[in-house]
Amino acid sequence: MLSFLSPWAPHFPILLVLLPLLGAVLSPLIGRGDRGWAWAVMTMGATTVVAMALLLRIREVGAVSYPLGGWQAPFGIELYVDLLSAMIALVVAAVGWVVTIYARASIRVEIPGDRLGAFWAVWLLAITGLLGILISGDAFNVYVLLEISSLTIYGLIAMGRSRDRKALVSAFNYLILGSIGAAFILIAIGLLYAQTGTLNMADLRSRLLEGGSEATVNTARAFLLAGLGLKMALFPLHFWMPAAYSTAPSAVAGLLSATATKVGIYMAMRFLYSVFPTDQGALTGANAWVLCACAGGAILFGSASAARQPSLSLLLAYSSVAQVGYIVLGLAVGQIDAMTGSILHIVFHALMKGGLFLCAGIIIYRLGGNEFHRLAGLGRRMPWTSAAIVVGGLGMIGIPGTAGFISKLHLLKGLFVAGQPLLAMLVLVGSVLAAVYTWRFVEVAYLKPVADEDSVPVDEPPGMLWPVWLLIGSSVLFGLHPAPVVKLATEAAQALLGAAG
Amino acid sequence: MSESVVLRTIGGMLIPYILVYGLYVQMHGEIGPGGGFQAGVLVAAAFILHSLLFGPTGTMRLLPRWFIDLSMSLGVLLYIGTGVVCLLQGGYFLEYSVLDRTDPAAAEALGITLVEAGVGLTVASVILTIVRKVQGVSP
Repeated sequence: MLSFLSPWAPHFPILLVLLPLLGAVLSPLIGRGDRGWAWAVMTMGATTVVAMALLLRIREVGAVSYPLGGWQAPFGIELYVDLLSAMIALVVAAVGWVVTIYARASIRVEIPGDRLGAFWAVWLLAITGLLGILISGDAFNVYVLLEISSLTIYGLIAMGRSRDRKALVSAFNYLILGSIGAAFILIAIGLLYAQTGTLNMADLRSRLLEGGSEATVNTARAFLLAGLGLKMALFPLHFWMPAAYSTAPSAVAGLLSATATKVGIYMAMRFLYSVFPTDQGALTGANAWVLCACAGGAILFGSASAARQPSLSLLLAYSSVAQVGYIVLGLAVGQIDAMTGSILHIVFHALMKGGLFLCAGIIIYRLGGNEFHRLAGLGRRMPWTSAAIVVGGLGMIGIPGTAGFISKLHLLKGLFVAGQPLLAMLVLVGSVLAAVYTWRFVEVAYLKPVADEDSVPVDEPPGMLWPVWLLIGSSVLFGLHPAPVVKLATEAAQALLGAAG
Repeated sequence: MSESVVLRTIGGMLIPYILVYGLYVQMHGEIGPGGGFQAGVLVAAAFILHSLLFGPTGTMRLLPRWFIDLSMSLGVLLYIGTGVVCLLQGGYFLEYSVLDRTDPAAAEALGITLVEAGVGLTVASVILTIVRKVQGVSP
């Protein structure tokens, strides 16, 4: 499979960034409207193929390193891709591709006309930045790429202004908080650089293991966690996120919920386990405690808030706050099964929540908004969209047969093995709360009568519907046949924790 | 737009020198202080001065929007293109020395010059675009 790409095999890491970057630069020259869209779809398709090929190659030969300009690490800038980064890169590229296909109709009504020319360039640049973070082996380059993705994402969110003026405020809030987060991350990297004199991640690790000022390292870790907490919307630093996701153009919300916060979590995994010295592979003391407390708060607060939101977009955004909590919980416990659960949840939640936000987008596209009072009888008016939301919601709860069940199962197993039954209880409580907010949609959509009988049924645009079902369907497929992904995630978790041990 | 004859005359005389200095920083950056970013800012500064003296619409006629948009993309393309040519020559991305295997040192110089030219082009046009946005001139 994909053997025609084999002459390019050593260059896959750089191609993963070059292709979307090239697409972004050329897209203003290609033109706006459908031509720009077709170009973006082609670009993302090629990127996804490369991400797939890269993952297959890493399964064969193990982690790959790429010296930019031929300058060898630690002196040159290194790209470093292992199983974990390749997996998440494939998720970002593939979900990005599907959302790009979906976005054709929705951006035409949601993006201001004078911004359409730049939209695809900014969109592809955001994906470039996210993919770049995943493949970089250099701490400072991670920061630069994080800024590239963040700045473009602020712009993408602000483009929601023609549907909802509040998008400008939420983009501005995110800009301020995101910049504070980025500054914290930069301070952390600066402290590490001051301590070790290197920016290459592998080199950083070996020098940190040699010893040095513990205070500097701990301060760096604290700054890094605070900064990344803002970037990945970890409770209690999540407050920018529901506003941003619910006012952004719906395709943008779909892309961000599936990729942006996930990349923040990836950075936390990479730095905490592959850069900072850890005690026998596990976080200890205050770090683990703080992360577990934040994750627990996220699960309870996020799920409980989700059940009280006035619109479907806000419900989904608060549900994302909770899901970030699950992922961080597994990451903080650092037990192999819990870490596998975390990695699985990154993948599965990207598919499910991406699909759910796209459903919310279809409803906005047809009904002009998705506040719950508009959704009465939606099950009859838009049967396919409603069904997708219900299936996605079941995945959020973690019903057996959905992908959410698989990841939560591993997470629970890990928590029990690590001797944390209280945290495991928390996960179960979170699932019950997820059932509450999913039921809320079911009640409105299926049990309430349609307010205006003439409006039955609403036409559901097929060009938007099949990308939704591609995401939701694949999450069900992974729920029924989890073995290959679980195997990959287990190997990735082993590599991550093994390197730390 | 300035009404003062003195400002317009002296400023008009300065602009070519700023441009030449920008080019100097651009070409010299490879072996001394300077480089594409600084040169791009200097070149953009020359045109910003032009727009302050003779009005933004005059500069717009000189450098139309499509031209600026094009050079913004072309600059990045020049950068990526140089890297990709290195790839095609069998080296790593941006490994300039493979551009000319008989004389790697000259190839390094060529590669860095091309890349810096791309940086300069993009920086100059991005800064001009931002300034035009602030000046409120639309095409």
